[in-house]
Amino acid sequence: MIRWTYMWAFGFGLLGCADYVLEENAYGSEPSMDASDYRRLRLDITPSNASENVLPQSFWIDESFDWQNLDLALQQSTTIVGNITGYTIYPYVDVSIPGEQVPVEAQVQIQMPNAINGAIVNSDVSGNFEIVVPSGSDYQMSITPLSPQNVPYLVLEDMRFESEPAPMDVDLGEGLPIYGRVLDYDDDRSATAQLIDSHTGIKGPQVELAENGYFQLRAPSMRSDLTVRIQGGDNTVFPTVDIPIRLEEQDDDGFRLDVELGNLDVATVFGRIVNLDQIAYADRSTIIFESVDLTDTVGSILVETNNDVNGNFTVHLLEGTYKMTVIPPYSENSISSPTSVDIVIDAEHLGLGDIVLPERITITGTVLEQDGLPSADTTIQFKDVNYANTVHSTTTDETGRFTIKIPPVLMQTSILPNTPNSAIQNFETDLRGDIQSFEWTLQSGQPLSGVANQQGYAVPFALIEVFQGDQKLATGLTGENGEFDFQIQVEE
Amino acid sequence: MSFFNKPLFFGALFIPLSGGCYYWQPLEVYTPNSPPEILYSDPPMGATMQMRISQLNPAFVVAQDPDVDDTMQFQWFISGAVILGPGETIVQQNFLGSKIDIQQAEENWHGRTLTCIVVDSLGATASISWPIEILEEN
Repeated sequence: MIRWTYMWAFGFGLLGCADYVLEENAYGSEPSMDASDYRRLRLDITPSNASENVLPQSFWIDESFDWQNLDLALQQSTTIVGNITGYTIYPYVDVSIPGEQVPVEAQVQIQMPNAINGAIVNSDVSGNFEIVVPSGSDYQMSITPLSPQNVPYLVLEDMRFESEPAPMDVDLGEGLPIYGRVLDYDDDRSATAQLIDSHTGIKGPQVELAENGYFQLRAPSMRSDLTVRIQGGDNTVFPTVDIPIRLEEQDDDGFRLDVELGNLDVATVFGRIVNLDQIAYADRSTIIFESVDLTDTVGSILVETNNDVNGNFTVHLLEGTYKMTVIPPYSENSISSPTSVDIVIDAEHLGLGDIVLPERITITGTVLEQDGLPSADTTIQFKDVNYANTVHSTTTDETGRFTIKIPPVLMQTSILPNTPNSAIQNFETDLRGDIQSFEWTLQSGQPLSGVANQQGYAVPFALIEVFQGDQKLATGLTGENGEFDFQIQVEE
Repeated sequence: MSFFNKPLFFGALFIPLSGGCYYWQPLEVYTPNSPPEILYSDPPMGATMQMRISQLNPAFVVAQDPDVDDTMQFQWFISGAVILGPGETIVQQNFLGSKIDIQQAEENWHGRTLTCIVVDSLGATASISWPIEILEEN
C-alpha cells in the first residue's frame, strides 16, 4: 500500500487534503515484442462467429518453435466487474465545500501491450463496469473519467486476470493537481489540456481550457513521468504541444505549468481543386494541412477540410510550412488520384490557386509460378501508404496477367498466391516513375502451419495476421478444423 | 438472380418437318449461377459494429462461392457516407475473406451501417451489414 498525502492549494488558498489509496505493482516489464527481433513473429488470431466465446489473442513465436506444427491454444475468457468512484472538489463554487466521493462514469481499458488481447468498455453513470478479456498476465489497465472529469485517471501495469477475479472497487481519489495557463489564449478557439503517461502512452481526459486560458488536470496515482498535451479542438487553429514533466516529492502541493505558444495570428488560405483538364473537382475530397514547421509558434498543427461542389476550399492556418494532402473519395471507377504539395503560409491571406489531382494510371503485369508457368487466380493488392491506406486489388487471369487502374503513388504491393505452395510476398512499388508493367514470379518462403484451438476445440475460420516487428507479413484464415498453412517471407 | 437472366434449359428444340425426319440441335446445358455466400464474420451477423474515432476498427468476412470457377470481389462501404474499398483479401483454399481496417471513423457515422458486399464473376451478390455505434471516448 502506498499512501501519499498532500495538501492542496490552488487559487483560493487551502482547500483540503486527500490521500492516494490505490494499490499497484511497481513499473512493469518492457513491452514483450521488440521490432528489431527479426526471427520473432507475432501471430494475431481474431475468431469469427464460427467460434463462440473466443476472444482475439496474440501469440509470439521464435526459432525455438516448430513453425510447421504450431499449436495456438487460445485462452478462455475472464470477466472483470467493478465500480469506480473518485473525489471531486468544487473550488470555483464554494470554498467551504471540500468535495465529495462520487461515482465516476469512465472508459475502462484492459490491454496487453503490443498485442490484440484486451477490451475497452464504458462504465455506466454509477461507475459500474463489466469487461471481458482473455485470461492472462502482463496487462495494462486504464480508467479514464468521462464524467466528472475533475478526478484523476488511472494507469496500472502488470495486471493478471485469471478466471473469476474478485470485483474491483476503484477509488481514483482526487489526484495531484497539475495546473497552469496558456498565455495569449482567447476563447474564440477551443482548446484542451490532457495528461499522457509517458511510460505507457495512456491518455487522461481532455479538459477544456477556461476562458482565460487556465487549465487544471489531475495526475494519475504513482506516475511521475507525464506529458502535458495542449491541443486545439477539431479543426481549431491552435497548435498541439507536448510538454514532458516529471513529478518529484516536493511537488506534493501541485505542479504549475504556464505555456507560451508564440504567434497565434491566423492566416486565411484558399484554393481550388481541379482535375487534369482544369475542371473544378465537384466530389467531396479530404484536404489535410499538416505543419512541417510553424513560424514563431511552438508545436504542430493538423487541420482538415473539404472542397465544395465548385472545388473551392478555405481554411485558417498559422504561419509556417505545411504538407497539404488532397484525397479524393474512393470509387472503383474514379479517375482521380490523391496528391500532396508543400506550401508556405507567410501572409494574412494566401491564395494557393488550382491544386491539380493527377489521374489514375493503368498498370499491367504477369505473375508466374515458381516453375515459370502462368499463375492464375493470384490476387494482387496495392495499398497506398502515404494517403488513406486504400487497398486496390485485382486477380490474374488464366494467362497470369492482370490489369488495374490505380493512383500513381507509392504502393505497398502484396501478392497472394491461391495455393499454400508459394509465399505471400510484400514489397513496395513506386508507381510515380515510368514503369507501368511488371512481371513477378512467385517464390517459396518459410512455411507456417498449425492449428488454432481453445481447450482442444478447433477455432475455425479465424483471421490470422502475421507480423514481424511493425511489418505485416501475411493475412490468412484458419480452415474448418482450425488449421492454417501458408508461406511467408521473413526478413533476415 | 432472375430465372430469365440465367435460365436453366435443355437446348433449343428444332424439329424441321420437311422430308419427314426429326432433327435435334446439339443439346446445350446451362448451369445456373449460384450466388456467393458470406459464411462467417467478425462482428457476427446481427451484432453492432462498435467504433472508436481514435482507434483502428477492424472487421472481416469469410465467403464462399458454390461455383468453384467463380471469382469473388468485395466492397466495403458506410451507407450514405463513404466507400471504403475492397479491403484486404484473404485467401484460404476454397474460401475467400476480406478484412477492412477503418482508420478514421467519423462521429456522424453513428446510426449508419457498415456493409460488405461480395460479388461473383457473374454479378451475383451477397452482403452483410452491421449498424454502427460510435462509442464515446476521451
